[in-house]
Amino acid sequence: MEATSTLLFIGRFIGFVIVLQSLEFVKIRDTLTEKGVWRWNELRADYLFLPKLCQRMLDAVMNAEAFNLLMKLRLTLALLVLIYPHFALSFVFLFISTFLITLRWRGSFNGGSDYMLLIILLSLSLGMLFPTFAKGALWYISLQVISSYFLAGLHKIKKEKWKKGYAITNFVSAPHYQVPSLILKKAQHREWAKFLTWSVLAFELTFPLVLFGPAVTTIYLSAGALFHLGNYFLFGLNRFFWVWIASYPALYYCSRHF
Amino acid sequence: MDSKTLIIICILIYLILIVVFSLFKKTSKGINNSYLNLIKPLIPSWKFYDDYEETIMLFFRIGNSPWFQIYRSPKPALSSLLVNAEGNFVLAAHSHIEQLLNDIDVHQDNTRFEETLSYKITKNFVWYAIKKQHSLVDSFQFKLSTVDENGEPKDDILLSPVYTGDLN
Repeated sequence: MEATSTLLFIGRFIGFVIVLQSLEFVKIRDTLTEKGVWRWNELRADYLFLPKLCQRMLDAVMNAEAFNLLMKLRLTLALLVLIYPHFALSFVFLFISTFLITLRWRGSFNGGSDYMLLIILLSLSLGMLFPTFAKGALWYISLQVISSYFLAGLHKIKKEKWKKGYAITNFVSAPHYQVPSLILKKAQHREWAKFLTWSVLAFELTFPLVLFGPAVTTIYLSAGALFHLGNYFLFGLNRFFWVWIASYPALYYCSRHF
Repeated sequence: MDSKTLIIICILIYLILIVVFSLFKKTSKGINNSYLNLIKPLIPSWKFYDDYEETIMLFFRIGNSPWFQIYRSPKPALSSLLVNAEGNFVLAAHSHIEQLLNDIDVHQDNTRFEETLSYKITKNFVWYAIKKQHSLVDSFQFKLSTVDENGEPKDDILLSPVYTGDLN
Protein backbone atom coordinates (compact mmCIF):
# COMPACT_ATOMS: atom_id res chain seq x y z
CA MET A 1 0.00 0.00 0.00
CA GLU A 2 1.23 3.51 -0.78
CA ALA A 3 1.54 6.21 1.84
CA THR A 4 -1.61 8.07 0.77
CA SER A 5 -3.76 4.96 0.61
CA THR A 6 -2.47 3.90 4.07
CA LEU A 7 -3.47 7.32 5.39
CA LEU A 8 -6.91 6.95 3.81
CA PHE A 9 -7.32 3.54 5.44
CA ILE A 10 -6.34 4.97 8.85
CA GLY A 11 -8.70 7.88 8.17
CA ARG A 12 -11.65 5.55 7.63
CA PHE A 13 -10.79 3.59 10.76
CA ILE A 14 -10.50 6.79 12.81
CA GLY A 15 -13.91 7.81 11.45
CA PHE A 16 -15.31 4.57 12.85
CA VAL A 17 -13.57 5.17 16.20
CA ILE A 18 -14.96 8.71 16.47
CA VAL A 19 -18.46 7.46 15.66
CA LEU A 20 -18.18 5.10 18.67
CA GLN A 21 -16.81 7.86 20.90
CA SER A 22 -19.54 10.28 19.79
CA LEU A 23 -22.21 7.75 20.72
CA GLU A 24 -20.66 7.62 24.20
CA PHE A 25 -20.81 11.41 24.46
CA VAL A 26 -24.46 11.39 23.39
CA LYS A 27 -25.21 9.04 26.28
CA ILE A 28 -23.58 11.29 28.90
CA ARG A 29 -24.58 14.65 27.44
CA ASP A 30 -26.56 15.63 30.56
CA THR A 31 -23.30 15.69 32.56
CA LEU A 32 -22.26 18.75 30.51
CA THR A 33 -25.27 20.92 31.35
CA GLU A 34 -25.33 23.57 34.07
CA LYS A 35 -27.03 20.99 36.32
CA GLY A 36 -24.54 18.26 35.48
CA VAL A 37 -20.95 17.56 36.44
CA TRP A 38 -18.80 19.57 34.03
CA ARG A 39 -20.56 22.97 34.04
CA TRP A 40 -19.01 25.47 31.66
CA ASN A 41 -19.84 28.39 33.99
CA GLU A 42 -17.47 26.84 36.52
CA LEU A 43 -14.92 25.35 34.11
CA ARG A 44 -14.32 28.66 32.36
CA ALA A 45 -12.36 29.77 35.46
CA ASP A 46 -9.50 27.58 34.17
CA TYR A 47 -9.19 29.77 31.05
CA LEU A 48 -9.33 33.28 32.46
CA PHE A 49 -5.64 33.73 31.60
CA LEU A 50 -6.50 33.69 27.87
CA PRO A 51 -7.08 36.95 25.93
CA LYS A 52 -10.68 38.22 26.12
CA LEU A 53 -11.37 37.31 22.47
CA CYS A 54 -10.35 33.67 23.07
CA GLN A 55 -12.49 33.56 26.20
CA ARG A 56 -15.49 34.82 24.24
CA MET A 57 -14.87 32.20 21.55
CA LEU A 58 -14.65 29.44 24.15
CA ASP A 59 -17.85 30.70 25.84
CA ALA A 60 -19.60 30.48 22.49
CA VAL A 61 -18.45 26.92 21.78
CA MET A 62 -18.22 25.32 25.21
CA ASN A 63 -21.65 26.03 26.71
CA ALA A 64 -23.69 22.85 26.97
CA GLU A 65 -25.99 23.60 24.04
CA ALA A 66 -23.23 24.63 21.60
CA PHE A 67 -20.96 21.80 22.71
CA ASN A 68 -23.74 19.30 22.16
CA LEU A 69 -24.19 20.68 18.65
CA LEU A 70 -20.44 20.42 18.10
CA MET A 71 -20.54 16.76 19.14
CA LYS A 72 -23.38 16.10 16.67
CA LEU A 73 -21.38 17.78 13.91
CA ARG A 74 -18.39 15.65 14.93
CA LEU A 75 -20.49 12.51 14.63
CA THR A 76 -21.74 13.54 11.19
CA LEU A 77 -18.22 14.27 9.94
CA ALA A 78 -16.92 11.01 11.38
CA LEU A 79 -19.61 9.17 9.41
CA LEU A 80 -18.65 11.13 6.30
CA VAL A 81 -14.97 10.26 6.81
CA LEU A 82 -15.88 6.62 7.24
CA ILE A 83 -17.57 6.63 3.83
CA TYR A 84 -15.39 9.14 1.98
CA PRO A 85 -12.09 9.99 3.69
CA HIS A 86 -10.73 12.24 0.91
CA PHE A 87 -11.65 15.65 2.40
CA ALA A 88 -8.57 16.77 4.35
CA LEU A 89 -10.54 19.52 6.08
CA SER A 90 -12.76 16.89 7.75
CA PHE A 91 -9.69 15.70 9.67
CA VAL A 92 -8.78 19.27 10.56
CA PHE A 93 -12.25 19.76 12.06
CA LEU A 94 -12.07 16.41 13.88
CA PHE A 95 -8.66 17.42 15.27
CA ILE A 96 -9.98 20.79 16.50
CA SER A 97 -13.10 19.23 18.05
CA THR A 98 -10.96 16.60 19.82
CA PHE A 99 -8.71 19.37 21.12
CA LEU A 100 -11.80 21.20 22.43
CA ILE A 101 -12.84 17.99 24.20
CA THR A 102 -9.50 17.99 26.05
CA LEU A 103 -10.17 21.60 27.11
CA ARG A 104 -13.76 20.83 28.21
CA TRP A 105 -12.43 18.02 30.45
CA ARG A 106 -9.48 19.94 31.91
CA GLY A 107 -6.76 18.08 29.99
CA SER A 108 -8.52 14.98 28.68
CA PHE A 109 -11.70 12.95 28.93
CA ASN A 110 -9.98 9.58 28.58
CA GLY A 111 -6.26 10.26 29.16
CA GLY A 112 -3.86 8.60 26.73
CA SER A 113 -6.52 7.60 24.21
CA ASP A 114 -7.40 11.29 23.67
CA TYR A 115 -3.71 12.11 23.21
CA MET A 116 -3.14 9.34 20.67
CA LEU A 117 -6.32 10.33 18.82
CA LEU A 118 -5.05 13.92 18.59
CA ILE A 119 -1.69 12.73 17.26
CA ILE A 120 -3.34 10.56 14.59
CA LEU A 121 -5.76 13.33 13.57
CA LEU A 122 -2.96 15.90 13.36
CA SER A 123 -0.94 13.51 11.19
CA LEU A 124 -3.94 12.76 8.98
CA SER A 125 -4.72 16.47 8.59
CA LEU A 126 -1.17 17.32 7.52
CA GLY A 127 -0.69 14.21 5.41
CA MET A 128 -3.95 14.78 3.55
CA LEU A 129 -3.55 18.55 3.12
CA PHE A 130 0.03 18.21 1.86
CA PRO A 131 0.46 14.79 0.17
CA THR A 132 4.25 15.23 0.13
CA PHE A 133 4.09 14.87 3.93
CA ALA A 134 2.11 11.61 3.77
CA LYS A 135 5.15 9.44 4.54
CA GLY A 136 6.25 11.81 7.30
CA ALA A 137 2.76 11.64 8.81
CA LEU A 138 2.89 7.83 8.90
CA TRP A 139 6.35 7.91 10.46
CA TYR A 140 5.19 10.39 13.08
CA ILE A 141 2.25 8.16 14.06
CA SER A 142 4.58 5.13 14.18
CA LEU A 143 7.18 6.85 16.36
CA GLN A 144 4.50 8.01 18.79
CA VAL A 145 3.02 4.50 19.01
CA ILE A 146 6.47 3.00 19.57
CA SER A 147 7.16 5.65 22.23
CA SER A 148 3.83 4.98 23.92
CA TYR A 149 4.75 1.34 24.58
CA PHE A 150 8.49 1.83 25.08
CA LEU A 151 8.19 4.77 27.49
CA ALA A 152 5.37 3.08 29.39
CA GLY A 153 7.68 0.08 29.89
CA LEU A 154 10.61 2.30 30.83
CA HIS A 155 8.57 4.15 33.49
CA LYS A 156 7.38 0.81 34.90
CA ILE A 157 10.73 -0.93 35.09
CA LYS A 158 12.11 1.88 37.25
CA LYS A 159 9.58 1.01 39.96
CA GLU A 160 10.34 -1.68 42.54
CA LYS A 161 6.72 -2.86 42.68
CA TRP A 162 6.82 -3.65 38.97
CA LYS A 163 10.18 -5.38 39.11
CA LYS A 164 9.05 -7.58 41.99
CA GLY A 165 5.71 -8.36 40.34
CA TYR A 166 3.46 -6.72 42.96
CA ALA A 167 2.14 -3.90 40.79
CA ILE A 168 -0.18 -6.03 38.61
CA THR A 169 -1.64 -7.77 41.68
CA ASN A 170 -2.25 -4.37 43.30
CA PHE A 171 -3.86 -2.84 40.22
CA VAL A 172 -6.25 -5.69 39.48
CA SER A 173 -7.23 -5.96 43.17
CA ALA A 174 -8.08 -2.23 43.43
CA PRO A 175 -11.72 -2.14 44.59
CA HIS A 176 -12.94 0.36 41.96
CA TYR A 177 -12.36 -2.09 39.08
CA GLN A 178 -14.62 -5.05 38.46
CA VAL A 179 -11.98 -7.53 37.40
CA PRO A 180 -13.31 -11.05 36.61
CA SER A 181 -12.93 -13.27 39.71
CA LEU A 182 -10.83 -15.86 37.84
CA ILE A 183 -8.19 -13.23 36.99
CA LEU A 184 -8.40 -11.78 40.50
CA LYS A 185 -7.67 -15.22 41.93
CA LYS A 186 -4.81 -15.86 39.47
CA ALA A 187 -3.25 -12.47 40.25
CA GLN A 188 -2.76 -13.53 43.88
CA HIS A 189 -0.36 -16.29 42.76
CA ARG A 190 3.14 -14.82 42.94
CA GLU A 191 4.58 -16.85 40.06
CA TRP A 192 1.71 -16.07 37.73
CA ALA A 193 1.81 -12.36 38.63
CA LYS A 194 5.58 -12.29 38.02
CA PHE A 195 5.18 -14.01 34.67
CA LEU A 196 2.47 -11.55 33.60
CA THR A 197 4.52 -8.59 34.82
CA TRP A 198 7.61 -9.58 32.88
CA SER A 199 5.55 -10.43 29.78
CA VAL A 200 4.13 -6.89 29.81
CA LEU A 201 7.55 -5.33 30.41
CA ALA A 202 9.22 -7.44 27.70
CA PHE A 203 6.47 -6.57 25.20
CA GLU A 204 6.63 -2.84 25.93
CA LEU A 205 10.40 -2.52 26.13
CA THR A 206 11.13 -4.50 22.97
CA PHE A 207 8.35 -2.85 20.98
CA PRO A 208 10.79 -0.71 18.88
CA LEU A 209 11.73 -4.00 17.15
CA VAL A 210 8.27 -3.87 15.51
CA LEU A 211 9.86 -2.16 12.50
CA PHE A 212 12.19 -5.07 11.71
CA GLY A 213 10.23 -6.66 8.88
CA PRO A 214 6.55 -7.46 8.23
CA ALA A 215 6.70 -10.85 10.02
CA VAL A 216 7.97 -9.28 13.25
CA THR A 217 5.41 -6.47 12.82
CA THR A 218 2.56 -8.98 12.55
CA ILE A 219 3.68 -10.70 15.77
CA TYR A 220 3.98 -7.43 17.72
CA LEU A 221 0.72 -5.99 16.42
CA SER A 222 -1.18 -9.20 17.24
CA ALA A 223 0.33 -9.14 20.73
CA GLY A 224 -0.59 -5.44 20.97
CA ALA A 225 -4.21 -6.10 20.05
CA LEU A 226 -4.40 -8.87 22.70
CA PHE A 227 -2.72 -6.58 25.23
CA HIS A 228 -5.33 -3.85 24.70
CA LEU A 229 -8.15 -6.37 24.74
CA GLY A 230 -6.83 -7.63 28.08
CA ASN A 231 -6.68 -4.05 29.38
CA TYR A 232 -10.31 -3.60 28.39
CA PHE A 233 -11.44 -6.68 30.30
CA LEU A 234 -9.38 -5.65 33.35
CA PHE A 235 -9.84 -1.90 33.47
CA GLY A 236 -12.56 -1.07 30.94
CA LEU A 237 -10.22 0.82 28.56
CA ASN A 238 -12.20 0.30 25.35
CA ARG A 239 -11.13 3.59 23.78
CA PHE A 240 -7.45 2.64 24.04
CA PHE A 241 -8.16 -0.59 22.17
CA TRP A 242 -9.78 1.15 19.19
CA VAL A 243 -7.45 4.15 18.93
CA TRP A 244 -4.27 2.08 19.11
CA ILE A 245 -5.60 -0.47 16.60
CA ALA A 246 -6.36 2.44 14.25
CA SER A 247 -2.69 3.46 14.39
CA TYR A 248 -1.32 0.00 13.52
CA PRO A 249 -1.50 0.32 9.71
CA ALA A 250 1.06 3.15 10.01
CA LEU A 251 3.48 0.76 11.74
CA TYR A 252 2.85 -1.87 9.12
CA TYR A 253 3.57 0.64 6.35
CA CYS A 254 6.77 1.85 8.02
CA SER A 255 8.08 -1.65 8.63
CA ARG A 256 7.55 -2.50 4.95
CA HIS A 257 9.42 0.63 3.85
CA PHE A 258 12.13 0.49 6.51
CA MET B 1 24.41 7.76 3.26
CA ASP B 2 21.21 6.16 1.93
CA SER B 3 17.77 7.06 3.27
CA LYS B 4 17.37 3.73 5.12
CA THR B 5 20.54 4.27 7.17
CA LEU B 6 19.44 7.84 7.88
CA ILE B 7 16.06 6.63 9.19
CA ILE B 8 17.74 4.01 11.40
CA ILE B 9 20.11 6.63 12.82
CA CYS B 10 17.22 9.07 13.47
CA ILE B 11 15.18 6.38 15.27
CA LEU B 12 18.20 5.32 17.35
CA ILE B 13 18.93 8.93 18.35
CA TYR B 14 15.25 9.42 19.20
CA LEU B 15 15.15 6.28 21.39
CA ILE B 16 18.43 7.18 23.12
CA LEU B 17 17.12 10.68 23.84
CA ILE B 18 13.87 9.46 25.39
CA VAL B 19 15.76 6.93 27.53
CA VAL B 20 18.19 9.64 28.71
CA PHE B 21 15.39 12.12 29.48
CA SER B 22 13.33 9.51 31.32
CA LEU B 23 16.35 8.75 33.54
CA PHE B 24 16.42 12.31 34.91
CA LYS B 25 14.80 12.49 38.31
CA LYS B 26 12.06 15.09 38.59
CA THR B 27 13.32 17.89 40.80
CA SER B 28 10.22 20.07 40.70
CA LYS B 29 6.47 19.84 40.07
CA GLY B 30 7.28 20.41 36.39
CA ILE B 31 6.56 23.40 34.19
CA ASN B 32 3.55 25.26 35.45
CA ASN B 33 2.64 27.49 32.54
CA SER B 34 -1.04 27.85 31.64
CA TYR B 35 -0.36 28.21 27.90
CA LEU B 36 1.92 25.18 27.82
CA ASN B 37 -0.69 23.20 29.75
CA LEU B 38 -3.09 23.81 26.86
CA ILE B 39 -0.87 21.92 24.42
CA LYS B 40 0.13 19.19 26.88
CA PRO B 41 -2.21 16.67 25.16
CA LEU B 42 -0.03 16.99 22.05
CA ILE B 43 3.16 16.05 23.89
CA PRO B 44 2.13 13.10 26.08
CA SER B 45 4.49 11.51 28.62
CA TRP B 46 3.04 8.02 27.94
CA LYS B 47 2.92 6.97 31.57
CA PHE B 48 0.37 4.26 32.23
CA TYR B 49 -0.15 2.37 35.47
CA ASP B 50 3.51 2.88 36.39
CA ASP B 51 3.05 3.61 40.07
CA TYR B 52 0.59 1.91 42.36
CA GLU B 53 -0.55 4.03 45.25
CA GLU B 54 -3.22 3.34 47.81
CA THR B 55 -6.72 3.40 46.29
CA ILE B 56 -8.61 6.57 47.15
CA MET B 57 -12.33 6.81 46.54
CA LEU B 58 -15.23 9.18 46.85
CA PHE B 59 -18.09 8.36 49.23
CA PHE B 60 -21.35 10.09 50.04
CA ARG B 61 -24.14 9.79 52.55
CA ILE B 62 -27.65 11.13 52.71
CA GLY B 63 -28.60 12.45 56.12
CA ASN B 64 -27.07 10.04 58.63
CA SER B 65 -27.02 7.01 56.33
CA PRO B 66 -23.89 4.83 56.04
CA TRP B 67 -21.25 5.95 53.53
CA PHE B 68 -21.74 4.71 49.96
CA GLN B 69 -19.09 4.35 47.28
CA ILE B 70 -20.03 6.82 44.59
CA TYR B 71 -18.98 5.39 41.22
CA ARG B 72 -17.90 1.86 40.44
CA SER B 73 -16.73 0.69 37.03
CA PRO B 74 -19.28 -1.56 35.31
CA LYS B 75 -18.21 -5.15 34.62
CA PRO B 76 -16.54 -5.10 31.17
CA ALA B 77 -18.62 -7.09 28.69
CA LEU B 78 -17.94 -7.83 25.04
CA SER B 79 -20.94 -5.65 24.10
CA SER B 80 -19.44 -2.53 25.71
CA LEU B 81 -16.14 -2.92 23.88
CA LEU B 82 -17.74 -0.74 21.20
CA VAL B 83 -19.66 1.81 23.26
CA ASN B 84 -18.82 2.07 26.95
CA ALA B 85 -20.33 5.39 28.05
CA GLU B 86 -20.87 4.41 31.69
CA GLY B 87 -17.39 2.89 32.05
CA ASN B 88 -15.68 5.91 30.54
CA PHE B 89 -17.71 8.25 32.73
CA VAL B 90 -16.44 6.35 35.79
CA LEU B 91 -12.86 6.49 34.42
CA ALA B 92 -13.28 10.27 34.02
CA ALA B 93 -14.46 10.42 37.65
CA HIS B 94 -11.30 8.58 38.76
CA SER B 95 -9.12 10.94 36.71
CA HIS B 96 -10.90 13.83 38.40
CA ILE B 97 -10.10 12.36 41.83
CA GLU B 98 -6.40 12.28 40.87
CA GLN B 99 -6.63 15.96 39.88
CA LEU B 100 -8.44 16.72 43.15
CA LEU B 101 -5.70 15.00 45.18
CA ASN B 102 -3.07 16.99 43.33
CA ASP B 103 -4.98 20.22 44.02
CA ILE B 104 -5.30 19.34 47.71
CA ASP B 105 -1.55 18.84 47.72
CA VAL B 106 -0.69 22.22 46.23
CA HIS B 107 -3.50 24.25 47.81
CA GLN B 108 -2.48 27.52 49.50
CA ASP B 109 -4.01 28.08 52.92
CA ASN B 110 -5.11 31.68 52.24
CA THR B 111 -8.04 30.62 50.03
CA ARG B 112 -10.91 28.29 50.90
CA PHE B 113 -10.53 24.92 49.21
CA GLU B 114 -14.32 24.86 48.64
CA GLU B 115 -13.80 27.72 46.16
CA THR B 116 -11.50 25.68 43.90
CA LEU B 117 -12.77 24.27 40.63
CA SER B 118 -11.77 20.72 41.57
CA TYR B 119 -13.87 20.88 44.73
CA LYS B 120 -16.86 22.28 42.83
CA ILE B 121 -16.64 19.50 40.23
CA THR B 122 -16.41 16.90 43.02
CA LYS B 123 -19.57 18.31 44.58
CA ASN B 124 -21.25 18.16 41.15
CA PHE B 125 -20.20 14.50 40.78
CA VAL B 126 -21.77 13.68 44.13
CA TRP B 127 -24.96 15.63 43.47
CA TYR B 128 -25.29 14.09 39.99
CA ALA B 129 -25.00 10.58 41.48
CA ILE B 130 -27.54 11.36 44.22
CA LYS B 131 -30.04 12.80 41.73
CA LYS B 132 -29.80 9.60 39.66
CA GLN B 133 -30.87 7.53 42.67
CA HIS B 134 -33.11 9.80 44.76
CA SER B 135 -35.73 12.32 43.77
CA LEU B 136 -35.65 14.20 47.08
CA VAL B 137 -32.98 14.46 49.78
CA ASP B 138 -32.81 16.74 52.85
CA SER B 139 -29.06 16.81 53.21
CA PHE B 140 -25.94 15.09 51.98
CA GLN B 141 -22.23 14.96 52.68
CA PHE B 142 -19.26 13.49 50.87
CA LYS B 143 -15.71 12.49 51.63
CA LEU B 144 -12.54 11.32 49.96
CA SER B 145 -10.97 8.36 51.74
CA THR B 146 -8.44 5.63 51.40
CA VAL B 147 -10.11 2.22 51.28
CA ASP B 148 -9.53 -1.26 52.64
CA GLU B 149 -9.49 -4.39 50.46
CA ASN B 150 -13.30 -4.53 50.52
CA GLY B 151 -13.67 -0.98 49.29
CA GLU B 152 -14.80 0.35 52.68
CA PRO B 153 -13.56 3.82 53.74
CA LYS B 154 -10.47 3.81 55.97
CA ASP B 155 -8.73 7.18 56.45
CA ASP B 156 -10.41 10.44 55.43
CA ILE B 157 -8.51 12.87 53.21
CA LEU B 158 -11.30 15.36 52.65
CA LEU B 159 -14.64 15.69 54.44
CA SER B 160 -17.24 18.08 53.08
CA PRO B 161 -19.65 20.12 55.17
CA VAL B 162 -23.26 18.89 55.22
CA TYR B 163 -25.14 20.34 52.24
CA THR B 164 -28.88 20.79 51.91
CA GLY B 165 -30.44 18.85 49.07
CA ASP B 166 -31.61 21.84 47.05
CA LEU B 167 -28.55 22.36 44.87
CA ASN B 168 -29.17 23.36 41.29
